[in-house]
Amino acid sequence: MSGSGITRRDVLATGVIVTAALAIGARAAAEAPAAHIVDIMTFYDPRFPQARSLARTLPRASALLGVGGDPSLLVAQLADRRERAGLRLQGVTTETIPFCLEQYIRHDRDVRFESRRLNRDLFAWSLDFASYTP
Amino acid sequence: MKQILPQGVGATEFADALQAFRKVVGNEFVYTGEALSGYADPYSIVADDDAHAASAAVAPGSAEQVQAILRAANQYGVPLWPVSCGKNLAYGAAAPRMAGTVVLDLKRMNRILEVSEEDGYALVEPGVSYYDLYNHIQAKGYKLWLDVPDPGWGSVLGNALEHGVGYTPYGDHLAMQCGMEVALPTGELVRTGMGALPDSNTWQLFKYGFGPYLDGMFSQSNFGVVTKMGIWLMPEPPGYRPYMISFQREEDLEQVVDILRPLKVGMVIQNAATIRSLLLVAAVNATRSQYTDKAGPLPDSILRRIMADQDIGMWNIYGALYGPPPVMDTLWTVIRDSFSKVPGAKFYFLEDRKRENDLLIGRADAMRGVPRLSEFSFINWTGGGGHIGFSPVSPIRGKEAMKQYTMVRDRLHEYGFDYMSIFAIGWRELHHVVELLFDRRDPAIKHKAEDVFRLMVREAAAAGYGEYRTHLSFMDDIAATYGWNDHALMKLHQTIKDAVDPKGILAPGKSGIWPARYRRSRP
Repeated sequence: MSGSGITRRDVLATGVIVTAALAIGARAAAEAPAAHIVDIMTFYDPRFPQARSLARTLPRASALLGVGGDPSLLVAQLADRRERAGLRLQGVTTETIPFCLEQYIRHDRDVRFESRRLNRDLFAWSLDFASYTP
Repeated sequence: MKQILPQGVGATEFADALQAFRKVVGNEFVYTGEALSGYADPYSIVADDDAHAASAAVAPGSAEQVQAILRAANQYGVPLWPVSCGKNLAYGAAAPRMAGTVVLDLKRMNRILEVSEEDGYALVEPGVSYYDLYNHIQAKGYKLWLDVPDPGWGSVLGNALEHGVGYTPYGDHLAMQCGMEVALPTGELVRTGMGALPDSNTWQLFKYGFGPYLDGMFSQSNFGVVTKMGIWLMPEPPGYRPYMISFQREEDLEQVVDILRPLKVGMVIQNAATIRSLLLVAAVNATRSQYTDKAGPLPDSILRRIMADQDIGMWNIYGALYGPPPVMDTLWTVIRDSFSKVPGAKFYFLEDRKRENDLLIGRADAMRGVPRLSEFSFINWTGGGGHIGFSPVSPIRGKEAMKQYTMVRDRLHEYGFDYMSIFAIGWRELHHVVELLFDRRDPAIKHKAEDVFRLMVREAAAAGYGEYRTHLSFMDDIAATYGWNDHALMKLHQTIKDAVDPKGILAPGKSGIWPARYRRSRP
């Protein structure tokens, strides 16, 4: 596989990507009522070396969680609306994760989702859940 | 978001219809404007973004509300498009065939009405997903397995009606369906099979009842809205052992299929085993750009590298053994000995596949009815998210499989797409499900994908292969290929349609069946 040895071109490309990742993160944060977001989970795809460093640039990214291309566990954890209240999921991953999250929540009116393609493989995305209203 | 009215319906009638729907379900369950974004086709392949745009959506909470909505739709002539969970993604998702149709969203009808552990069945409403039913069975501790298709978030009822398949021995979902409740387009409610007998206690046990067997008529059709359905569930077997067999050469497909046929027909292979192509398996763990940044067919050197990196073959069988350990041991001996005749065949059990995200791990769940979304990983191969399924059916014969494979592969390469497929083995037939990946944001790529898809439909039909299921945009094309005896089957469909739906309000264009009102001027 490719991926070994970082070139000047990669560094320049990464600069552009970081800017894009920061932009999406900052915009999502600005639009979210801060009081509602009490917990943030940040994901990255360990198969892509860039993904980890880019995920670190997302707002309030602390501990990073590795996730490959399989969205099964992530989506399954979102079933309980009470548990997801005030939660932000964000990350830099391949497209499967944001695509499935977007499809999963597409009828929910109390969530905000954003996604942006960074390069051929990676997407920066964020998903904010509002407070729980029974 | 602009509103597109259904063909032949004026603004006043449409507004009156929405008002009538609101009276039935309440304001909060009639959707218009921005709230319709969830009903768009996420993979629309055609250039016209409005080709399958809904004008509104209405979400009833009961069969009675479905009946009332159908009656109102008849009164105002407003067409409805029923969807269950709306997750039929590669075939159009929750979008209607005809622009302006109102989506009849059955997601709120999500009750699991009954599960019988003793008799092995469930009775469900349309909004019950595989995740819902699986979680319910787990919570109750029933010793039952359900059968799931690859994405587990779809509707149990909807998947069976669309002729979906899964991977346990109960993999033919429509065959495992037993008993329906259906709201006819004019609003009457009927129960099929033994359900027509008042106080019947065998509605989910005996499919046929008395008289003509009608259940199939409500699958892939627009003859009624199924509001309840029975589905048989498999008793948890005393043992389970998933396996994978890889084959190294392209041309091995012919021999593999010929070995498979008697094993499947003779029930030595117990489940709906699949043969998956190299790139479809590889795409679960890798992306194309990790191997090349060049367009065009991948050279043999790269294909060999992918095989080595992931320890997979050019073709890969995923299957499972079920039953007491001595039975599984015996079946495995026959299966292993049979495929050992293919030079270079490699055999694996789950414990042999240690790599994180190895496809066998996901398949091991799927083949015992645990819902997942793992298969979506393959869309990362080229990025862009779009994919549609091209799904011709053939006999389980090696020569037929090779013929289909080379036909489709060559066309896809000619148009700049990679070949990724599953050969799914049914009781007597081979489903060749080809995943056509495209960037849903790139109009030029979408245009190519549409062109090659239509071409493959025509070429497959000329060779005697018909598709079993298709995307909204190609329903008319596929229906036209089933044209024996001057389209006698379509004429029968139309006769039934006109009889059960005289105003033509239910799902115009579904499976190429148009009501009389749109037959001459169909969109």
